[in-house]
Amino acid sequence: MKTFFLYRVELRRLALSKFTWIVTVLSLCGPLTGYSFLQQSNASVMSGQYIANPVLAGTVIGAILWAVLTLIESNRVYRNKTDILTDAIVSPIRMAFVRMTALASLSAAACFLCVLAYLPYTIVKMDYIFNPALYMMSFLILMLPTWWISILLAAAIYQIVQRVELAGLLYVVCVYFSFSRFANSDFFSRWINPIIITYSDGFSSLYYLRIALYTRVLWLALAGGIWTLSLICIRRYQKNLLVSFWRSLRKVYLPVTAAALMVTGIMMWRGQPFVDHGPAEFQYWDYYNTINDSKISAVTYRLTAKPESGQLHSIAEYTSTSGGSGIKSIWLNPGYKILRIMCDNQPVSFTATSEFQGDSQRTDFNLTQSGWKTLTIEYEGYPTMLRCFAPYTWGNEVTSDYVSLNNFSSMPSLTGLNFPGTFTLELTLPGYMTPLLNHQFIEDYTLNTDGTKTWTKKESSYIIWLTACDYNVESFNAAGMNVNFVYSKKYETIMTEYNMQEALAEVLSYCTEHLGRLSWAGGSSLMMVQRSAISDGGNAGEGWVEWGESTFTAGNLSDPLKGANAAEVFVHEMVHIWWGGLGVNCGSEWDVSNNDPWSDEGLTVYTTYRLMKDKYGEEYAKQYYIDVWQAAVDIQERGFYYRNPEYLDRLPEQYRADLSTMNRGTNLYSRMPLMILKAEQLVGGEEKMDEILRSVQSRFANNGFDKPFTYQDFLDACGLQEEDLILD
Amino acid sequence: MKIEVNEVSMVYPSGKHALQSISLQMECPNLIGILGPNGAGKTTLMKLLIAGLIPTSGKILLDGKALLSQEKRLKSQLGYLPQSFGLYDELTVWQFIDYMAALKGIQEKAAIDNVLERVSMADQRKVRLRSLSGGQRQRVGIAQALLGNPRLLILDEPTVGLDPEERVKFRNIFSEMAQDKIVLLSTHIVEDVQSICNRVLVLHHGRILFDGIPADLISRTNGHVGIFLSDNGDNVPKNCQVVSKVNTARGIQCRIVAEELPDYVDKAEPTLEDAYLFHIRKGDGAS
Repeated sequence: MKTFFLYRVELRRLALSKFTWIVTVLSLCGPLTGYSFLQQSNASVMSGQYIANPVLAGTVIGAILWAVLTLIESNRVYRNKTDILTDAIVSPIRMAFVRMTALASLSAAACFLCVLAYLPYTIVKMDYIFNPALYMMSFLILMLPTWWISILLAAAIYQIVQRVELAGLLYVVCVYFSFSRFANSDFFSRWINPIIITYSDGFSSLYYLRIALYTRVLWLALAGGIWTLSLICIRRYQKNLLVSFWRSLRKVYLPVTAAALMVTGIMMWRGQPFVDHGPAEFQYWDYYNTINDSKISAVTYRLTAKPESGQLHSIAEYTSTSGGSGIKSIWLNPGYKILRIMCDNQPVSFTATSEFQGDSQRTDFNLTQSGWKTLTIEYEGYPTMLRCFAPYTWGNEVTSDYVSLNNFSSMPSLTGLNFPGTFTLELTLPGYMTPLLNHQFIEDYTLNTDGTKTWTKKESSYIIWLTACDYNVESFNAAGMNVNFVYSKKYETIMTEYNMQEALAEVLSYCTEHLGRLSWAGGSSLMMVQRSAISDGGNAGEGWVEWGESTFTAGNLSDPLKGANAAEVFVHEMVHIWWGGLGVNCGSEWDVSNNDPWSDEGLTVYTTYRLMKDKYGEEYAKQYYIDVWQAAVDIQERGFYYRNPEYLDRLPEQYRADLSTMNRGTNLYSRMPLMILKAEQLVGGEEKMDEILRSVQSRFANNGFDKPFTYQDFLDACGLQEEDLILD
Repeated sequence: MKIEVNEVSMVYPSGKHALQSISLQMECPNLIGILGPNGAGKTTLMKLLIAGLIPTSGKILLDGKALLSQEKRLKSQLGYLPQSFGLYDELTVWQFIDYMAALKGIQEKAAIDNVLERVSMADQRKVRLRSLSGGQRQRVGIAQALLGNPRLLILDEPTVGLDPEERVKFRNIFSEMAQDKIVLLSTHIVEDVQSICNRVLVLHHGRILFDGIPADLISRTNGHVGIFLSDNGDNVPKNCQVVSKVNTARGIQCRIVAEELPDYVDKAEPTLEDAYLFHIRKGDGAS
């Protein structure tokens, strides 16, 4: 009771301090930096730009500010000799505890003010994409715990060294550690800058938030332990550190609590469930013939997603006509815990080995008798990231809004067995989710009493990509194909508003007519699937195309270099389907002599222009495309550093990088299309250029896009020389 | 409440012997004045009594139990005014006393008003501490010490910076408070002790030179205080300590203390100041 009373008065005292107000106001300003230069997360999605980045920036800046306030307040009582008065009334250990809780409360209030301050702007900017839960969770998981960790560490350091300048220096070292190369390689050590690679607007952002929550709890335990330990170091009776430590050690609950918290933190660090504990280097798969001697007649995988815990519960069932005996092995993502292995309803002992290959770990089990009929493996958990690729997910995610699993992550690999050619997948998902298995719909399902649905499909290909979400599916015919346009329901508003289906049909028809049939359109159907930003990036295969959700962000759809309006930018992104496989993007100044890869971006912009010219006429296309390109190139060429690149070296690295990014954008979106336009005039007009581009498409598609398309390739295709395309 | 100091010595890490095997007892009620020159060990003794220091040797007992084991109880019954202290300057007088009251677990706001009245700071209750004069800050310090009517009041130089009127007022407050508690005050101002203390402790070089009632200290100085007239005040006899020099029409009247007074010196009635100086001088080994 007295401690609570003390807490109240200390809280009030701190609230009256001008330092507290300065820190609060500056903390409120911290997130502003995240909109522009302090971007730590993927800003190409709205949630990244307007939630993750501001919150992460505010987290770091606020954490440092609150640490400074902690140091000031901790030092102040000694410098002002106020401790002489207070220590005569209350134990300095209790005062330190009270001061800490008061600072933590004030920082919580400041965090709450941040939530309120940025809420209107975020809602306005994100519009229908705004997710209030994600917004709140970002502050509560990323910002507030990090501020507390920072306060705890700063107070702990001060209490140990009891010199403010030394404590400040040591705190800076701790901050540096969190940004160091080591912390980058082991992101669990990032105590002040939690990692959020990206958020997702339309799917789920829980994946990285779960990791962030785990690391915050981990660091709260560690920092709490260090701080509790530092309480023992508080100087008492005018004694030095060691004597004070020895005397306070008699308060047994302090060292016990400190040890318990630190052990908890260390165990959480060592046993973290998100990244596998295998070798740092990628281990290629070469496991074969594990139960090769067993004739498998049927395989059934029963996968049940548990989005509330982010886990997957699975049973793999193998039926054999003459199962072999001996030591067998299965390979499974180490994030799954094998619950039991049963052979003909008898339990089989198993042992996880330390051998890793790919994203899987080997588990051995012993089948003592041959001729078994049924082998079942039951496991549960969630797939870990590959250590060598962490913190990137490799397409694995089980959250309430999105399930994405690759083959090795979702089912045990018994490679080399005499596979029956097909297997049965029974997939139980929340009722609102629609699954796509290998980019195809699953037709059959049963509705369960708990509201979930169990989807069943016989599959012949073992390569499994499974995604499930509350998809919106639009089916239509275009360019002689049945097209299924599948995207997250969160994007329904913008898809309807800009009539994206019609735009897509136009693209498919126009490009098929002018550039030839889409090389990866399988048969007469095409599945076009939007993918979560968590596993972003375009991808394509026989009969399907995937593209990342950043395509649909307001920022992207309002990019004037890609199109005159959102619908035209969407068209631009869809045109990428034709050109996406040509090569990687070129640098800011592509070097023709080195035969650098040429960007598909210029061809995409040019094709979009052609489509719009076809649709709206020459004047429109000139105004919104050619003139825009020309203006951008003019601005580029007027630039001092563009004309005098020899001075670039004198600029700071950041400015050089910014200039390079600007140049690259102009080259990709304006210079290249202007050059293609010039080439079009030189080769004899649009029809001739279409013919050339069709040949390029055909050649690269036939060769499987095995080598990037270069500028020289383009010149050769057009029969032109480099100097022919120099812009006037 | 009973405090026993048994053979307590205090040696600082620098090697300075602040207290050397001192023993004393304090029981309620008691108003004890500690006199001693700078560095005599007064503040060290007070810090030991508030459990702010641990003695190098010896024991301090609170009601028969080791003081450190009774730290929590001690702090709940203690009012302490250190020699030098800091305040939270951003707070007003009332807020600061309220803060200190809260630390002591006092929730009644009337108690805050009461102590502010007692130290004549009620009018300045809304004034920020940073705006106060040295004397006013001292009064705030006294106010926080008086909060909660503590059973043990330890005051280190409480009247420093106060004007004569305030000094008298505070002396009376301390005297009133000592009716049912232990009040221990250290001071350089002998008059303060003389006027209110029922017991005086003279400390010098970490030793207790005297522990008893002021009248006893004075009586021990009988025959050792004298007055003589001097033309210029320079002809002070050897082995004498000059207490005062007063210009008169007949010359400079010098008041001295000495183990043995010269014949030409007229004996005078000793005061507590004479007695204090005499004992300090005696403690220094002068004859």
